[in-house]
Amino acid sequence: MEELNCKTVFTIPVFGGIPVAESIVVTWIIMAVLVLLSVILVRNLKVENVGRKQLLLETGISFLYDFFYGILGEKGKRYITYLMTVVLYIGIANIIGLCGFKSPTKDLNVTVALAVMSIVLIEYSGIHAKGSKKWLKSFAEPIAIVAPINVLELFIRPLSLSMRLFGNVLGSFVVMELLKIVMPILLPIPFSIYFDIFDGFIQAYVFVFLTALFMKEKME
Amino acid sequence: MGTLIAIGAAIAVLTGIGAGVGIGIATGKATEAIARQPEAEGKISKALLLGAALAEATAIYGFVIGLLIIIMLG
Amino acid sequence: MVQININLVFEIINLLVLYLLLRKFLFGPVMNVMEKRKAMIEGGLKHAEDTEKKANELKEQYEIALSSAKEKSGQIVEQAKLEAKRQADQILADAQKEAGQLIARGEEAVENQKQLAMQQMESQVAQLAMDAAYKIIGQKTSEENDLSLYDQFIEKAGDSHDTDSN
Repeated sequence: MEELNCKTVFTIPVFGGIPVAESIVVTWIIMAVLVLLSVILVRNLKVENVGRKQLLLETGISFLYDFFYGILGEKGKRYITYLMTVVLYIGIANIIGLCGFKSPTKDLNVTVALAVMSIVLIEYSGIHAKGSKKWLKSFAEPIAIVAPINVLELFIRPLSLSMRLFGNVLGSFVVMELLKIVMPILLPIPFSIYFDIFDGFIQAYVFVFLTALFMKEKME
Repeated sequence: MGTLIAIGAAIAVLTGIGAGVGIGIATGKATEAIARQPEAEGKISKALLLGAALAEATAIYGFVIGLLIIIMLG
Repeated sequence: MVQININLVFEIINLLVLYLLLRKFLFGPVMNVMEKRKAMIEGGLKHAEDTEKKANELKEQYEIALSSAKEKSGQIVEQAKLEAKRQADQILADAQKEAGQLIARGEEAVENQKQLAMQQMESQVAQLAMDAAYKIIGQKTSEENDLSLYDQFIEKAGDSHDTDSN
């Protein structure tokens, strides 16, 4: 049971002590790794005569870019960078459990933060694309009666997004822990491949995919 | 009390049935669609993934509620 | 685990910082390079297109020039042929005329010669005949006989000569 809890690593000694959870620390580690990797990989990029490393990097980034571009189109081009950041972050956060860290996405705070960012971005994209008046009007579409439901969607969408990510990661974590109790060696390997790697990437994909879809819907 | 809580959590997790059936049907239909139109595989699998994610959310809700029952009440 | 606390704010800050960092260090440069390459490729393609267009224009010009040159050369050849033919005709006509003249002159000369020869011959023959007649009837004939004989002879010989020449 205590495995599920996200421990407080340390407390900042101001305002009577602010607890900093493990997930935040792991997020810092992920950030450091990502930034370090990108600094190393991005060094001396060339326009011509690309090396293998750069080719791989460009292939990956252009794959992600094309994926989001296909959903968002020309109007949503400016949000692609954020979505790529999120998919990288969630992807790494989901599989970092393999490295002995606790996945940050196992903490509800993290997933809710991601979902809040997503809904803010979704609504912001709507306002930016249509102007605030039209954006407000869009809540009363297709008829005025559904306006409460549309407003409710503002809360349901982030809830659903955050809970899906959180539940999946935590669920797979629980299943893996139970499997480790049943048989600590060999047996967890195939399940680990499914739950940690496959499911982790699928959830990252689904999260950004849904965010992009909602944005697209709001922008039209 | 503890038994009741455990039973409640188990009932909450039963939402997985619906999600399982739903995803199963969706996947079956998607397979049929791909068999009929193999060239549309990309679009179909995208839609399938979206639908599966949405259907799966119900099972996740059940799981989260079960967890909440255990943690909050237990 | 299932509680929302101050860490939510931390996480949001983390995400924003991560976004800014990655945009600066990863996506910015990579996109920049890709954009540059795209621009370069497009520039190359455009350049190639331009070059091809120019080449086509040049080719057209050359073709036009070539066809006009062909036409002109045909004209020249035709003209030259006409000229040559005209000259040849002229030469031929000249030659024919000259030949005709030559022939006529030759005939005239022959005729003159013939006339001359005939006159000479006539006088010679008269002499000869006279000599012959002298020899035959020289001793006993008189001057009158001579003359009558001569006339007779001349008449005969001239007649025979005339029939021969004709």
